[in-house]
Amino acid sequence: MVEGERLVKYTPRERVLKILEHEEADRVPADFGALMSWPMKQAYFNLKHFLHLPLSFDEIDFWPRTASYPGSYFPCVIDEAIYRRFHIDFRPVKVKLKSVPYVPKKVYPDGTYIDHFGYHKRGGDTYLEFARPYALEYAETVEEVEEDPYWMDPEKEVSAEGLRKRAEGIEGEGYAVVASNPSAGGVFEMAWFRRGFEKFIEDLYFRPEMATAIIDRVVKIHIALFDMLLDEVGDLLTVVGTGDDLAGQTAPILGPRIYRKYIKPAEKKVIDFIKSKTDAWVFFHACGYEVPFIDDLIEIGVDILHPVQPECPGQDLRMLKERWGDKLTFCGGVGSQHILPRGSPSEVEAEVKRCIEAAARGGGYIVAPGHCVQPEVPPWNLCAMYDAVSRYGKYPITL
Amino acid sequence: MGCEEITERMKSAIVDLDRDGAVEVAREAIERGIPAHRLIGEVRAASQVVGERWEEAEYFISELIIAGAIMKEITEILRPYMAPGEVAYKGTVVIGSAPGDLHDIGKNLTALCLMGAGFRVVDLGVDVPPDRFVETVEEEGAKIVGVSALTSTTMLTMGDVVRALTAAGLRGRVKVIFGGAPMTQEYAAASGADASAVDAITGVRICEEWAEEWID
Repeated sequence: MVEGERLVKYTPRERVLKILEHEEADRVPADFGALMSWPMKQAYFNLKHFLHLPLSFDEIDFWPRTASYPGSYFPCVIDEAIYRRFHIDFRPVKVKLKSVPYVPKKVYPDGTYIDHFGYHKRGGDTYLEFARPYALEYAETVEEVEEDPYWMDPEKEVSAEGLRKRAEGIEGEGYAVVASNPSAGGVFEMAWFRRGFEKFIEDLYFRPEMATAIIDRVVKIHIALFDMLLDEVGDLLTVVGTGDDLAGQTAPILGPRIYRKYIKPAEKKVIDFIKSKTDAWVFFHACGYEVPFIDDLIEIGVDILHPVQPECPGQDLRMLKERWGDKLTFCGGVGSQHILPRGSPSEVEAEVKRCIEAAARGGGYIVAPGHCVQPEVPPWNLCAMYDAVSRYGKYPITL
Repeated sequence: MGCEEITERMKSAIVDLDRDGAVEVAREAIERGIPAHRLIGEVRAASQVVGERWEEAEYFISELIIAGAIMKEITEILRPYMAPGEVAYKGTVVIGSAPGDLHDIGKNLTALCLMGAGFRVVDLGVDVPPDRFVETVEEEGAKIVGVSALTSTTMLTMGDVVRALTAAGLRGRVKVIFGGAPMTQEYAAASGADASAVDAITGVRICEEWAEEWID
């Protein structure tokens, strides 16, 4: 981009900051698994193979099936060579579990286990899945909830050691340092992951004292995790990740009335705490049809909304941008349910063009897959996607 | 208070998600000798209104779960008062998550809504092998098979269920409906299903249309 006589070259962090300020930079920034929109392992290793990249030791999964960590379906790290090949502007820092090799808190004879968050899970073929009963499904009193031995104790179980050094390195190279959501989920999610979906929703309507006890504990854990993370790297972060899955594909999970009564105030407490410890922009993942919650999210301090799934209703980027573009930056938008897994490279290219054309003018848009990259996404489609960002994402947008 | 008024009160309590109110009125109605099958009819009418509120985006998934839970509770209260053979179901639906799919939230919600709408539901749980669907259809005399999948990966195994039904010679006897977020009509049609739905209420509506055909 030419500013006066001088050709302005942005570092990735400068580019991201411009976009977040709703101004144009030299090109539209892009993310691949740093903020979110992670690739599933199968897609990731296919991509590495396709790009002739060797495996590195820390990518190899040798933990047993009951290993209590999401690394069994997402890669633990993303190869720096891929970030560079795709011109990704973000690099993540993450808090780590102290219990290596991720020993579950309890293993049951059927192979299910209680993981580090206190969720009852089993290894599936693609993802880790929830197992019935949920850990707190049969709890009947507030005392049972409070005294449950499997609540995460962040001070004992999680470590932010070494994060500062990594963050300083990333910052020194000019990338935008982003902190992945240390709780890997939001207030509503963590509550129902422990209590059970139907049961927690019934709590919200029929047993408010149970709902409140669970939510209070979940907020406490979130704040302890962010405290640890932000003490270490708060001053170096450009973006801090949060989120809560509030909607399904075509409709909200929670009725907005019940959301505003219980969940929104709890999410606000967490975001207020984050904002008290860092100047970083707040990223919020809420997939599916999240439109009824957007005003609420802006109200509690969300700056960036992810993943704008084009397959869901109300996700037209142009419409979103028109209505909320002055208050929010949108991240995502590239169809991950149909186009990325089943489209051709030229369809992927057209999809990226569509997103940039609709949302990139005047800043406020980060290109990313509109959710996690599913196992069957072919590597050539990922290459087509990020090549299209370089080709069509230069400011001024001429599409 | 007249009979009409009590049943109407029970219906509005269910629709307004007032569990205590609905249970109380249901008990009162039984005490006053209102026939249980008439009250069950009212529960179905309530389920219809809840579905309409969903379609008008007034109710969301949490409200469907709560309405379903209330309708289930009321049905349990009424069941002992039904005469044998009086439960006229609209038909039996065998429902389960696709082979390889371990997700059950959408499937459970659909089962709950189907029960509320007056179907008998046989829920086979998650990761159901195609043969289990076949066996259960035979044993239960089901007229509808519902297969659910959450991810675009496990969605690909749904066609196996249709193939197994065809191989067992049962395909002509049952309607097959696919459900789940990633579902498209094209995929469902190409895999041999009769219909598809991306949410529970749409699925229930389709089953009700089928039921009307065979009840007439």
